Amino acid sequence: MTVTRNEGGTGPSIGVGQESGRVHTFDAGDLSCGTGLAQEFRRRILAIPLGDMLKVETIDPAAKEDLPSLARLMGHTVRSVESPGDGRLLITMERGR
Amino acid sequence: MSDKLIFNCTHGKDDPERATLPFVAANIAATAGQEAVVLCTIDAVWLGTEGGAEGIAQNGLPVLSELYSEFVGNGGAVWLCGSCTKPRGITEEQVGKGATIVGAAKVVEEIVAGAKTVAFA
Repeated sequence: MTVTRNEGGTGPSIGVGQESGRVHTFDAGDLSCGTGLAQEFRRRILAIPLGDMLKVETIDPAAKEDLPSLARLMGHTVRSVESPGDGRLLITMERGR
Repeated sequence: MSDKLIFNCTHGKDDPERATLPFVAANIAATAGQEAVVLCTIDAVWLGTEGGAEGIAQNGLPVLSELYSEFVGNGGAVWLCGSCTKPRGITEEQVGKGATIVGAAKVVEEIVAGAKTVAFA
């Protein structure tokens, strides 16, 4: 799988030359439920093909709890949750529908 | 399927009775072996910070700091609304034992899965 960075563009970036299971990234910063996290997450994950992964980076404490719930509620699958120890949380989710 | 019982608390030092009652009910649930959560919103989010429940007591009700500790000791969880902690400047570092900052999706997921909610007006 290829991890690509999304540097603030309008949509998730896509790995080059990969098949299903590609990893796209979305830096959610400090977005939370009160500031449009759900809407932006939905827009980002629906912009990638079914079966691909969206790796979301967040520094918002509520989003850390919310993103896995959001993914499950929207029919996607949480594949991994990483905590690098620097205040960020990296959550990788597979688009399910 | 979620068996959680979620008790909403919206007040802190501003209203000791309304701050304490949800913890009374939630602690009964936790004591009885139920999966109990106090969901703190608005000014109640201060209750889940270190020392945030200190000095809150309503005549006829348990001292809140002691009740809070007992509730957490019984396995109870305290969820702090992230949209309420952020504007109050409450960070993860300030969150006390048993408490977690959560967002609305966390609560919605539990309710969709069958959790029951109790509100104290």
